[in-house]
Amino acid sequence: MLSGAFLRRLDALRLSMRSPAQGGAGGLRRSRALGTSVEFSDFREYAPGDDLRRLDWNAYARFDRLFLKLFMEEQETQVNILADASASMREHGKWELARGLAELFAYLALRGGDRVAVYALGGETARAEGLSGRAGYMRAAEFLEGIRPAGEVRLCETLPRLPLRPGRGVSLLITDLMSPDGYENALRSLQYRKQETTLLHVLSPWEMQPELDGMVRLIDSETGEERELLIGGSMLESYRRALDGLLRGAEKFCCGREIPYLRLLSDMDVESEALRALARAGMIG
Amino acid sequence: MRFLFPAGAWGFAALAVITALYLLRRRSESVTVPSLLLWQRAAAEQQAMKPFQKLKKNILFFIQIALAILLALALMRPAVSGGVQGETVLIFDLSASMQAEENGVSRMEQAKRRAEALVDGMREGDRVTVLTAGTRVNTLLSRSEDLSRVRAALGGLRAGYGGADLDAAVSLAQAMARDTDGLNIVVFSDTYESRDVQIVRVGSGSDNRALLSLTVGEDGRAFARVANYGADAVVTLECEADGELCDITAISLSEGETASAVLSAPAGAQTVRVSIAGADALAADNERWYAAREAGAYRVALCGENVFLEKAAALRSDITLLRASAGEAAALEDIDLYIFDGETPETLPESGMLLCVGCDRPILDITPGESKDAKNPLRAGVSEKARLLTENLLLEDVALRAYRPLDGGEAILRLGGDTLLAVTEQAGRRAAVLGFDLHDSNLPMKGDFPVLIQNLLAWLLPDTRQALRDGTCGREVHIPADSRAESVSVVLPSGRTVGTGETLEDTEEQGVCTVRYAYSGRPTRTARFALHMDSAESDVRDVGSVSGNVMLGGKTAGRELTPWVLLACLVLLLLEWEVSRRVA
Repeated sequence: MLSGAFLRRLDALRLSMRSPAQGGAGGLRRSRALGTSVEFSDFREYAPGDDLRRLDWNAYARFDRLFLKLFMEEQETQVNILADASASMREHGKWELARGLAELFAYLALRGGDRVAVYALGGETARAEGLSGRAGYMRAAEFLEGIRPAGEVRLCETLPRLPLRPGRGVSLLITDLMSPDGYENALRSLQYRKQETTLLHVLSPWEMQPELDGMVRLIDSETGEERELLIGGSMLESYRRALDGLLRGAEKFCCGREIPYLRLLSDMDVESEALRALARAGMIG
Repeated sequence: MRFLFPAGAWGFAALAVITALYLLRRRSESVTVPSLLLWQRAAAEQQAMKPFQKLKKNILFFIQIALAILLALALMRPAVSGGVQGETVLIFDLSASMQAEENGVSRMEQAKRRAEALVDGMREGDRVTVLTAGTRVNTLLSRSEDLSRVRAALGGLRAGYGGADLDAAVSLAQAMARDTDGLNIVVFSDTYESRDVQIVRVGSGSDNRALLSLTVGEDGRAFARVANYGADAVVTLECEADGELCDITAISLSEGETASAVLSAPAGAQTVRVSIAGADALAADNERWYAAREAGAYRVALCGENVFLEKAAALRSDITLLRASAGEAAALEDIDLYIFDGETPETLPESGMLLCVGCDRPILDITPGESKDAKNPLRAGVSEKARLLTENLLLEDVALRAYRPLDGGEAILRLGGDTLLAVTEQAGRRAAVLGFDLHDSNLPMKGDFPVLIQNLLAWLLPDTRQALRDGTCGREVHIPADSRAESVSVVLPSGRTVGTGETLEDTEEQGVCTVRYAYSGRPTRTARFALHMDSAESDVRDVGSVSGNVMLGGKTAGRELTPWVLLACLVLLLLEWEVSRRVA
């Protein structure tokens, strides 16, 4: 759970969204709907049935016609935090960072009056839905604290089937992208489901620069599959090319789909380095 | 291919050790990674880039196995056929006993057949040296790879009539062995014994009778000594004089007995040949010759009336004495020696030896001094020639009244510090000068006088006939020198003539030899002697006991591949180093 001091620092920040909220209950986030907020939007002539409380009496005095003042409607947004909790996230502190990020986003969303749902995508998907208000943060933190990364996750199979709340929303996917079936269709499905999607790619420094040498039997943390490899300079070079392909591929795909993409390393501190990285990427502000 | 050191195959045990080490080595380290996703992609790329990548993890093992195999092969010293397979020295005993025949085949023939069989078993590239051991060691063929030449050399082998210096031949071969690893030394002999070389034993032992010696007296009686190396037998001897059979006698000899037989030949026969009738194992010792010495042919001019000198000189049978005055002497022709007693001519003859007694004129470089009274005892000089010329002389009681001390020449007799008898030689011309008148001494009355004169004559006129002795085949024969002769040659029993010095080395034929002294402007003088088989070779009853199968091969024979195998090892070592470096 994030520290109290850090949460107080977060009070000054908001979760950035590119599109206004839509379809939610009344909240604190500006929506395209006209409603009862204090922010003026436009005038229109009175029509029978309109709320008489919104008549502009000053305009009536000046023009002798009834005009209605229109204000922006402030609605809540459904924020879905999708945290990869597969066994691969257990290694090298990736889950700790992913959990911290999930808590951070949950706090910011809840602080912004949004409704939050947290999904832990592991061997079996767990979720905490309908979170709102400060109590929602506590529930989210406890939920995440109880998650033990395990099993295998296939993003392309899992995400389209997630029971997201219908309508527009914001989905933050926190994953290492080590999914056997890839990630592209998973992100496409989120966008198809009108989710403003953000991808937070968590990797460990070891994955960026593996320290292996000689004959090594590699064991896949998710599947338990083993593979014996003679690792030397040439093999490490090939690994780096494969990793580079993954990173560049993800960046290119996200750029093409207007999906904010941020790569974070597991040795980052959530309360400082990760927060700065998120701010620089414009995800919070 | 063959292996010169098959025991090196134990090196293959290293294969088991290496395999065990690989089996027992620590297995690869297990590492849990978040996902194999990227590693599989990397491995796939590696696989595509290097199709043999799978082998790489075991390549060190394979290299080390190959290295172990090559090292084991190197230990076994592989060699291929077709190269130099080995080097062999064949040593043949050419002693007279190798002429002995058993079952119709001589031992020499047996040795040749065995050697040819050995050569037939050799391979191309084998080197063969053929040494023959007679009384001298000869190298017939040296390190020849041409086996046809080897066979030709074997075909020309003939046993001699002398002994065999096999030790010298083996020493020579062993000296070669010090420079040639794995040299095979094979000796073909009937008697040689050694554990250091391989011996091909020929012969099985046979009975033999031999003539050991033959002497013919002036009366024509021939004394032959016969030995029986075999069972009891009656030996029939035949005697020929100048080619005519003149006597036959038979003697009974028990086993191992040696006896003499007397045969009659005409007095004055020039050549007497005695032979054993009938065949035995060794025919070469069944005949013996006697060559009569010829009458003297030296012409000696005796100037002066000295009966002592005349009598003393006449003791030499090969001398013809011519009496003359000192003045007449120079007119005589073909004089070999001038003896001047007291009086010498003013001009010395141009040729011929000189013996001057009590002369008052210089003779060559010897100059007589003034007459002196003799007061000191006579004694011999100290030189080797003085010892030779005073041999058998007793000088203690020789009395002398007066003498002329001699200056020059080599002192033979001395009186106090003076020289009493001196000899000299200039350009092959010899002179002896006695510095006192024989009438002033009791020397002529003593037995020492003829001895002294004979000694001087032997030096002045070497008795080539008496000095010539019968010889033994294979050993050098001394040919007495004649300083006047322009050339000396020997006609061998086969009719072949060889030039010679004081030693005749070509003594391989047995029979009667003739020495020919050729003079300038004078008739050639001849002398004869006989060469006989070495009688030590006559006993052919026993042969040596050491023998065995000849095993050729040689430790370094063949075109050895070890250097190439070791080179391959080096290459593999470098490869292993490179692979290890890359893996690391």
